[in-house]
Amino acid sequence: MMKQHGYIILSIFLGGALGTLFRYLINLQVATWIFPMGTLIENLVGSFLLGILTGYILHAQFPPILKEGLGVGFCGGFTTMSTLAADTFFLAEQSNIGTVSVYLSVSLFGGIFLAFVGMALSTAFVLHKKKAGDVQ
Amino acid sequence: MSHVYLVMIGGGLGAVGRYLLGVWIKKNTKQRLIPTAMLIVNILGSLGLGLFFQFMYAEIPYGAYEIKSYLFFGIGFFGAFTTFSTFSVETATLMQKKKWGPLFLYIFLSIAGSIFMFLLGFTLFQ
Repeated sequence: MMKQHGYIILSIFLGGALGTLFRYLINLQVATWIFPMGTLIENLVGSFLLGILTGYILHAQFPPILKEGLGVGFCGGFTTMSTLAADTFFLAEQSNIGTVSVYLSVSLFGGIFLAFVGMALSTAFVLHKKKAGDVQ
Repeated sequence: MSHVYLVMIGGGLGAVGRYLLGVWIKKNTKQRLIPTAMLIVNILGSLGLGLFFQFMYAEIPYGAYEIKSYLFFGIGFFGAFTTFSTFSVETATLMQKKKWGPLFLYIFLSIAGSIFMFLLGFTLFQ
């Protein structure tokens, strides 16, 4: 039990480190684009990925260590709420309420929509595979 | 230490911190209508980032990818301690279950709460 817990924490550490690395690399790539594109892309893509993972896990067997590493670690570390909060404040100071509203709406509705679509896609995929007898 | 390692170690520690605090909250609080664990984590992390920015730089170090403390704590630790993907999936799940009241409450508390707490941390000791 303790050993299993240790491996899960290690898996989350590695997943979190990789997710954060990708977030950092994307931030560097889009640094010259319109602010705050980096965090927006990461939060949308990460929501979609976690949606896919969640839909899959709900309907098929999946190793817990991999589940926590990819979900809590990678997707969790790849996306961020604290930077979203800081971006919003920065944007409000530099720009106007219209830009802030667009940023928050796209993050919010886009993230929820993509998580929803990701869950639906992987659920459909697993159920289809189950019918064919490929997955347990 | 190279920039990449600072980001990765900060991020790994942030993710583990989020997991441990999340598990602790789930163990020590009653089941609520809304998923409280990540809500509390996100609010705390946003407060932490606001305090950190104010104490360290007295401004938001936008695009400061050369400052090591920003890479480790700002992008790394606080960035990974808080999460947006879990928020999206939990909201989508509430939507699937057609729990509209908890859904709007959860969205409002997460987004407005995180922004407000960041602002509080950033301006408290200004």
